[in-house]
Amino acid sequence: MASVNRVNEHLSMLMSCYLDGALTPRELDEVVFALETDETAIAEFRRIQEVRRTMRLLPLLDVPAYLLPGDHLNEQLSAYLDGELATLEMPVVSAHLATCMECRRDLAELDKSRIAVRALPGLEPPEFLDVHRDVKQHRRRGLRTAIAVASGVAAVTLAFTVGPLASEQTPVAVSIGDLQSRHTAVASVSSGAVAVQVSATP
Amino acid sequence: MAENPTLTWEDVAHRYGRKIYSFAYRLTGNPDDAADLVQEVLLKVRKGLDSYSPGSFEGWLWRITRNTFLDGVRKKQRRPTTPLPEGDHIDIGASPSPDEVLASVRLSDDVQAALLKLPYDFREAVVLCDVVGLTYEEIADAADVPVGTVRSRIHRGRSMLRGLLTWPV
Repeated sequence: MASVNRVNEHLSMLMSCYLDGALTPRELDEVVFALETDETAIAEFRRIQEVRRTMRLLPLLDVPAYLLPGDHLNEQLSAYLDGELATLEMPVVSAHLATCMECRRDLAELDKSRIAVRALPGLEPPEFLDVHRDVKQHRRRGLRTAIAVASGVAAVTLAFTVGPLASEQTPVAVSIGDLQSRHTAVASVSSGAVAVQVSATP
Repeated sequence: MAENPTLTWEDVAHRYGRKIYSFAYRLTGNPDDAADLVQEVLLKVRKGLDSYSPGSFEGWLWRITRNTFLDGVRKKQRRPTTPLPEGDHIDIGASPSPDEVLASVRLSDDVQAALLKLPYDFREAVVLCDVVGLTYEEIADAADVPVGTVRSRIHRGRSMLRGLLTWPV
């Protein structure tokens, strides 16, 4: 009896494999022969088939959208850090951050960069560019100077356009070196000043 | 099955995301656990895709998925479990008590409930075969067991399900 049960169990497993196309040719022959000759085997086969069909009817489920690439927070993260998120976006972004490890990591990285940039020291202008207080005096001397100043960590670039009021000279762009050789630059810095004025004597 | 090794992790996410999510959901009946698994697996895929060498991509992916899932289960088992509610209605018999039913409140249907009653190895094999659609060889690769073991697990899982599910007469 035990031997019969083992055979049935074995045949039952082969029928399960048969449905999945996972039999060797010899096993296939065995199953086909049983199904052609044995009513019990046919009944067993139908039961296995029904279970398998039922399992395969289970649908694949949709992944929550926030887990898929392209649905992560991007520019919203900066706005979030700067407190610039629209009120309506706030709960959506907060909910996403609560569940998305990747965006939380991006947010932390972004925050580090933001703090680092904000910690950069302010730059003082070079001494010789010290700002003169007496702007009107220079204007009376007849020099009109326009200066553009751009400052950076490694370099400071200045562009000057100098146009004497009472001469035929057309305005020219000069470098700091040129300016020093052609004019006597008088400069002094007043605290917090950002504009630069240069007076020149011929 | 040899797959294109130039897949990006975004490709993997879109192509396999539903399968990974369904795998975890069918094994746990819990959407939060399923979402956590997808998240962790995609992260590991993102980190590991560069080092993936051509071979069975399915095997590689499902090994990661399975190991990540089992790691999560082990972590949860180490956490303190929710104490049983007090009262004289607690039944430790074979039939599910009202509390057990409440504990499995996330189960969406009879099939899901039946699945959760299977031993893990059988449940995993049936889900990978019938829900995810892997071949026996791919399941063997993912679970690191011989194909013969996979055949046996799937068969025994189906046999148990047959006993657990009620069929229309």
